[in-house]
Order: sequence, then C-alpha cells, then structure tokens
Amino acid sequence: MSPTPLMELLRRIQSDDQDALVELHAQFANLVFSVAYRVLNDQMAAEEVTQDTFLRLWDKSHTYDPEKGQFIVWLLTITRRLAIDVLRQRSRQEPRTDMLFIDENPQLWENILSTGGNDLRRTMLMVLKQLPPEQSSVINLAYFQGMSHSDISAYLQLPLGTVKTRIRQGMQKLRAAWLEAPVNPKIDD
Amino acid sequence: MNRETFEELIPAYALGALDADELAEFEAFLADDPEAQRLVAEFQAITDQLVLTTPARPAPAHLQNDLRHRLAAQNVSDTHQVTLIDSARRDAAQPQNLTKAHVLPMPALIGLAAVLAVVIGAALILTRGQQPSSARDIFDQLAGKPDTVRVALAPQPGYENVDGELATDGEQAVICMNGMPAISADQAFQLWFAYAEGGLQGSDTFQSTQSDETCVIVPVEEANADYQAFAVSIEPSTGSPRNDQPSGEVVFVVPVVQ
Repeated sequence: MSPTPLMELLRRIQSDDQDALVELHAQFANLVFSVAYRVLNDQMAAEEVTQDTFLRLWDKSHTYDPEKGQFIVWLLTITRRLAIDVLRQRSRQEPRTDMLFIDENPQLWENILSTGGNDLRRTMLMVLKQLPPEQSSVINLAYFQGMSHSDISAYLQLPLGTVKTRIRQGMQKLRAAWLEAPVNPKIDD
Repeated sequence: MNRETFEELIPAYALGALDADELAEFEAFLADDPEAQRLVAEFQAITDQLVLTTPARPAPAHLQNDLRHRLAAQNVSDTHQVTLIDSARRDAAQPQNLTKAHVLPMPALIGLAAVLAVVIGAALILTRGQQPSSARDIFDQLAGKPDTVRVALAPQPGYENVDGELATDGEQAVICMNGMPAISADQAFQLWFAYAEGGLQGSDTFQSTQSDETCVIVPVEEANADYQAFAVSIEPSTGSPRNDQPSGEVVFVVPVVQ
C-alpha cells in the first residue's frame, strides 16, 4: 500500500488526527532520528529529540508553507535546532570530531527523497567530501554543533581569522556546486 | 564593519556561525542591502540542504509506540485544559492559548457507558493508609515478575517533584508515587482512566502526603490495551463534579504500554 500523500497527512494533523501524525512518524522518524543523533551523538537524547520534533509538528504543522521549501528540509531543520538547543543546555559537551558517522542505511534517504532530491543529496555529499578536511570540519562544527566562529576558534585552538577564512572558502565551494546542481528539487509528494 | 568584511561574513551568517556582536552589526548592514539579502538567501538555501548530508541511522522501533503514549498523555492534559477554559468562560474571561484541545464526542461517551459501568463497579483503590503495605507488597510482587511492565509517571508542569512508577502484568496494576503535592483537608487525589477509544473516566479518590510514598491499586478490569493512560488530579474530597473530566489540576499521567 502506498503511503498517504504528505499534504493530506498534514491536513489531517491540523484536524487533530493522531493517526496521521503516527503515519508521518512512520515515514520520517528514521531521518529525524539520524539528524538528532548526528548532532547529539547520544542514543537516548536523540530519541527524545525525535519525539519532541513530532510533538512540535503536532502543534505547529500549520506553519509549514510548501511555497517556502521542502517539507523534509523544514522538518529536519526543526530537529537540528531542537538538538542544538539540547546540546547547549548541557553546557556544551566537548564535540567529538573524531566520531565516524556511518551511513548505516542510505536507502532510508532514497526512500524519502525524489530523484531530484537524491541527485542533490549526492552532489552535496560529493562536494563536502571534496572539501579540504579543515574546511568541512569547521562547517560541520557550525552546522551540526551550533558553534560560532569564536567557539570553533577556541575548540580547535586556531586563530579566529583562520576559522572565518575556512568557513568562507568552504561555503563558497558549496555554493559553486549548488549552482551547478538541479535547483529546487521536488522532494515532496 | 566595512563593506568587504560584511560581504565576507555572508556565508558564515547563513551557516549561523556569527558571534553575537558580529551578528548585530551584520544585520544592521543587511537591512539596507537588497543585493546582500539575495546572496544571504542563496547561501541559506544551500545550508538548508546540508541537513540532507546526515548519515542515515534507523530509529529504534519503539519510538512509534512511545509517540502514541505521549499523545495519549497529552490528551489527558488537553482535556483538563478544556475544563479550565470552560471555567474561565463561566467567569466571562477569554481563553488565551487554546491549542489542540480535545473534546470528547458525546456518542463515544454514551458507547463507553456500559463498559465504564463495569469499571466503576469494580473500582476500588486501596491506599497505603487504608491497607498498610498491601499495595506496596503487590507492587513488589509485580516488580519481581518477568512479564511485568513498569512505566515511569510523567509529572505535569508544576509538579516536577512527583515521581514514581506503574507496575502491571496485565491483570493487576499498582502505582507507587512520591513527592505528591500538599492539598487542603477538603481535597483529595482522584485516579482517572483514559481509554484507547477516547474518553475519560473518574475513579475513586485517595489521600497522599508529600513526605511518604503512596501506593494505589489500579482497578483494571479490562486488558491494558483498552487504556491509553492513567492520571491523577487534585479534586474536592468527593471527587470531580464531572465523572468524565477532572475539575482540578492533573498531577501526573502514566501512559500505558501496549
């Protein structure tokens, strides 16, 4: 049986249909959990953020505007922000840059993203891999750990100017790749 | 901040990496610069997509059931919220943040009546004060059985000091709680059942103290699968005036594991 179209699920959620939220959870929980785990590197905390994301969606589904972007990006951005909030509440545990985050099941992404979305994801992954490690690591610290220039500078014990340069150069390479990739892929149903 | 510095910070701004002092200065520049706003939007579209590079990791299977339980717990609280809002309306006040309030459909209540009558008839809560140690003994017996499910109480806002557990093997259920709030002499705690089909049912009242542990036997007459949650509220000593809604604050909720 094919999954219920996303917009129909969202309409039902706005009508307080709990089954619709559970169905949406069945479709997206793996990726929400993946993002929470990537930020927190903690199974229990990632589970908690996953559930909080869906409860946030339960209360705020009306704020999603399809005109402004893809649902999956909107949902995972909520997850990332909630997870970073948790990280900050823990008074910033030392981030583990040596952690290897393995793609345990890339099929999980393939199942959710459309062809265009998958193409874009592969492009982003390829460009990130091609970035010099010193550039990708500062981008990851800012994006997945919520660290500022100063935080990264202190953490990596690098001059502030070096951190800024690495972020700028890395982001410019990402932009160049983005401009060549299919823009605005249709990910939702 | 000069123009060159401002432009150099655009990628970091989109990434959320600016420090607080940089951020304020940057946004002051940005407000008057449409071209920079366009560039920021472009970089933000890119950073949005970075989340798609997250390595995939399967979520634990139990999360879906957990979500159902949390929604059930929220149901109990929301129904309570309706009561408060109704009270406020009686006082001619306007409700402020009415969100996701769930009102029980009357047909469901009528349909539940027969089932609930059985539960009401059988409902008997034995507090520790009434039969010292018996409820605690049953809890301990349950705790020692391999098929017993134990669920932590979920205290509601304002009652974070309350903790405890439900233990149930499907035939018997006992809740042991600590740190219950002080209540006046004309008040009591009341146990509530939230049914999987929808609907709340008040059960008997009991007393508890802040300092001592209190254990109550939950009179489960049906399979645990028929319950979404149990809850305890603060009520007049005779119980809530309405048998389908708490009139006082809900102290804690216990989602029932299915």
